[in-house]
Amino acid sequence: MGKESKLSANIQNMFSNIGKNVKEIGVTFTEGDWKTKVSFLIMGFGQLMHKQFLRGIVFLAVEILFLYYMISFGAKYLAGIPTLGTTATYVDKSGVVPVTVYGDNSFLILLYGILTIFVIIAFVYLWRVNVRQNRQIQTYLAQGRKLPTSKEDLYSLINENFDKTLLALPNLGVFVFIILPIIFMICVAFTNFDADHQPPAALFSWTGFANFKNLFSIGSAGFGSTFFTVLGWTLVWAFFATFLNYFLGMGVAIMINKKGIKFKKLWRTILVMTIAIPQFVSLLYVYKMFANDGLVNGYLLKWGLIDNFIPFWSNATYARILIIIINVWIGIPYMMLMATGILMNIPEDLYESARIDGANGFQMFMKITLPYMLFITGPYLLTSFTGNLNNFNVIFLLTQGNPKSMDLVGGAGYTDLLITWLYKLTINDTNYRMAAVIGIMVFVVTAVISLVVYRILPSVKDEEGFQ
Amino acid sequence: MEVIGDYANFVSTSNDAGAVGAATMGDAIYAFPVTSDNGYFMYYDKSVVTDPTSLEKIVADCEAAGKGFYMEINSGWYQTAFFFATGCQLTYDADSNGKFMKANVTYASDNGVKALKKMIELSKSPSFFNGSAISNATNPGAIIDGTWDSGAAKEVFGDNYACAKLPTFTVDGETFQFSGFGGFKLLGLKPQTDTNKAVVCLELAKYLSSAEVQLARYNEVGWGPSNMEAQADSAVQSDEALSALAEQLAFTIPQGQYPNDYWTLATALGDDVIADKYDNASDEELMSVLEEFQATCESYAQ
Amino acid sequence: MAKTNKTRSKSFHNKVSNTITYIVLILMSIIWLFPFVGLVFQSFRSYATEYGGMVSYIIPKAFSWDNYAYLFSEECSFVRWYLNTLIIAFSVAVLNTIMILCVAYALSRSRFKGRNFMMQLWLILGMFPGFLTMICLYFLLKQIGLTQAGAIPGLILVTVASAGMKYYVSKGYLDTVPKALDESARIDGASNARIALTIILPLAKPIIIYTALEAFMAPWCDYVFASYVAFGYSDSYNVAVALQRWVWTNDYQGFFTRFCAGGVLVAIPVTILFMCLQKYYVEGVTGGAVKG
Repeated sequence: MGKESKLSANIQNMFSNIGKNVKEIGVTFTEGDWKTKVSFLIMGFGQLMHKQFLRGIVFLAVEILFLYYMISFGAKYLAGIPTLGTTATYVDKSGVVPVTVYGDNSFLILLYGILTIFVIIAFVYLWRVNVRQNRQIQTYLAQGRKLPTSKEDLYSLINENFDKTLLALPNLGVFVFIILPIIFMICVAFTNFDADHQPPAALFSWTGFANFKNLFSIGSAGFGSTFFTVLGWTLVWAFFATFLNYFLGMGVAIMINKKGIKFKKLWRTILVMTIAIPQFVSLLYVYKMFANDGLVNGYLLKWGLIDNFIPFWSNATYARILIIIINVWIGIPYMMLMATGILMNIPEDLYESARIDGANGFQMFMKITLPYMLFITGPYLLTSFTGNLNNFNVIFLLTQGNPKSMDLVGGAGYTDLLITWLYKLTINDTNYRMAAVIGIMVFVVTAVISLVVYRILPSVKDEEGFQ
Repeated sequence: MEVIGDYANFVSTSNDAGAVGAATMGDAIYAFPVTSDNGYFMYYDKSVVTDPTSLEKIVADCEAAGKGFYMEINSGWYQTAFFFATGCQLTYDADSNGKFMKANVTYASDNGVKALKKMIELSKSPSFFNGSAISNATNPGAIIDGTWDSGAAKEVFGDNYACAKLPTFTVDGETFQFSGFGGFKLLGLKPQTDTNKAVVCLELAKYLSSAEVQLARYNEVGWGPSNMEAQADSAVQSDEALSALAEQLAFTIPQGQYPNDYWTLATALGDDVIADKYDNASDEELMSVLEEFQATCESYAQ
Repeated sequence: MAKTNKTRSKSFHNKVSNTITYIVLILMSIIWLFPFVGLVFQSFRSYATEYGGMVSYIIPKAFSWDNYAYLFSEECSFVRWYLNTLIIAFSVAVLNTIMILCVAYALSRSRFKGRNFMMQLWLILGMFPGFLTMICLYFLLKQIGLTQAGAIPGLILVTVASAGMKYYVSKGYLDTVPKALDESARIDGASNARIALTIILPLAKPIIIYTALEAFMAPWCDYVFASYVAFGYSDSYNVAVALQRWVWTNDYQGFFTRFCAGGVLVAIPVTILFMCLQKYYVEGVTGGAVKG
């Protein structure tokens, strides 16, 4: 059963759900008594009439708040969404000093407009719950069952509905601080919000797919070739960063773990210390170490090993290789730590029996250690890979994505990842629209890779094969 | 916020011409000048550099002494020293709203190729390092820097501290004097909606750009004043760094408005040069690079 | 006879490979420790006697405490920044852990309608790069007044609000706690809340410590959003932003050694904390797959 048929099954489910809901609403209306019918208009009425005070008051309050919000705030922003503002800001020079008169603010219109749309959706959902509760009241009355009281409602919050209580605050947080901004930025990708169109001084408006066309356009001023260059390096980097660290870290862990090596704890501690030191400190120092006039070049010149300083950071290829190596330096301790923990749990008798059968070290590694490690850390590899796709710190603190070139537009450099390019577009160029488009592209890349790997993963998780 | 009326008069009469020009956009004054020292010249080590008037001799001296020659050629600000020297032009015309209407660029010319060739030749030297901050320089013999680093430069060079205007350079048999930007620091005001608040802001800005405050600023941190009265002060007149700068300013062009994208583009060009991309390029190839550069510059003014 | 020969050559082989391993380990230790040793040495190089910027040698000509003294002096707000970061780190550690535990417990223990939808939605949301939402969050915070002067609460708010999304490791761990415990407690009449607090929570100690540790360590390095939110108001900087400013603003000549000193001071508590709680970190990352 592939993902495609699952998706279409999901969509079918959704539609049939909506159909069922509409039907149920209709039934509630026709079969309900006058209190239920009034509840369609005044939320919470039915509950109040049946002495479910807590529920009734809550629903009534929701309705009043919603109406108040829409009238005083939401409606005007919602109305502005199609145009994103029509009155521009201007400067009134008629008085002693110039005074700025502010017009529409496209940013706020978009932001609050989206918020209002969500509020409306939430309200519709709550209204639906209100209707369903009235239906429940009708059914209970018909069956002669007792209606749940307010006290029982409160208790259920810490019992059956405890999970909902727990999830309320996190969900709210995620909605306001993640979902809303993401939808906002996705919308920005379809506008022309950049340095020339910045509220409150100027308006921005919808431009459809123009930005996407720009991203893929080949040509001197287009973003196309730059995008693919950066994308290519991002994938290469993520691959090396993940797998090099993984295998080398494992190798180091095995090396330290070998019998006959003393001071195991010392070696591990030394390596682990590098994790705890903040990256912005160590990376900056390492950056300066490899500068043209830095320590490494200085000593290499002094010892006569080279004639001219090696341009580590100004040559694109050197810079890329150096970044990968430095990332290995940072990443091995993490991997080693993890691998050590796992290795210590592999049953010794597995190795013993293998040794009796005449296997040498390498064979034992391939047949026992590696599959076991992959089994346990498979998911970690995936998250590590997608994490490295977005590994801002290492790249930015080391090279800020430089060196730049005339071949790359938009301020991109040869060591830029998509994410550092996005950051530069946002902060330096205030080119929010292209940044939004690139953000969406990053998401697409991450999603595609994750999906692909999830398909492969189950086969790695084959426990029987492991034995 | 635009500066009009009496305040505009104050700006145009008390500061030197360059500063006033920098504070003007279109035909409107929009800022109060604070310094006239945002240009660059050369600090050098007297014991290393024997002749500070010729770039080739300076570089040779640094190479011989194993010291570094620092210039930030991948910055659009310092890069113009090469191109303006050979006679190229790169300016933008902007209207009163700050929108760029027209680009005047002549980099794609024989003069431009000469400048680019010199830049490439300089970057090939083993003692050339890209940079303009003396605190980041490990072993400088000479550095193209500005007055803000005069304190640090005195520390690094100690008794061998010396300043000079930028040298001349020779390419294809012709000698040119390094040019570049003459810059100014300006005080801008945020647009106000309330008249009273706007007046307060203007008065404060006027005070901060007055002769008294500018002189105090010079005494404290060494910023060269733009106010003509402050410039006549004897302490200002005898400052070594400021006199080197003043000498160099005669060869520079006052810095106008440039779109953000220009600076990024210039960095890209500089980075390519440093990355040895054009090391063996012919004159035709260099010309095509400059043509691309010029075309992109022009595309920023629409 | 053949047997002793074999064992003798085998032990010789072992000795050789062990020696090689030792050499490799020593080399590795040098390489790994080198930048930090360099950093520490730089922090002792005095701004006054030797030049305070970059130099081409490692061991200072004269050791001095000048840089550290400067950090604690009147003109430098380092203590303030350090405190800021400590406050942020503590708040985030505590609040994040609570949020994550709430989510992890709810998702691990109960199956409700929309659970799958929520988990998949959050998974997809997690694939969007964090910076995408930066400017939007900045404006949101600005409307509430939590930027610049109020940057610290703003930063904490943003971090904590979306903390729930990082529930995977905790949930994985809680999944390994047998549901039979829940069942028996419920038979005894305890409410879900009581079960969570009195039974499950004590068992989750390793994962709690892991989560808190992760959350604590992050703000020390958070440069990007912190600088955006506190823009221009230096009292609200955290150490990462402040130290970066020193080195990147070319006007601050010779602050490099002070940067090194600041870096060392930042590294110490984080290092110590990490060393002590290493064990929990490993358990957390391996998702409790390695137990007993």
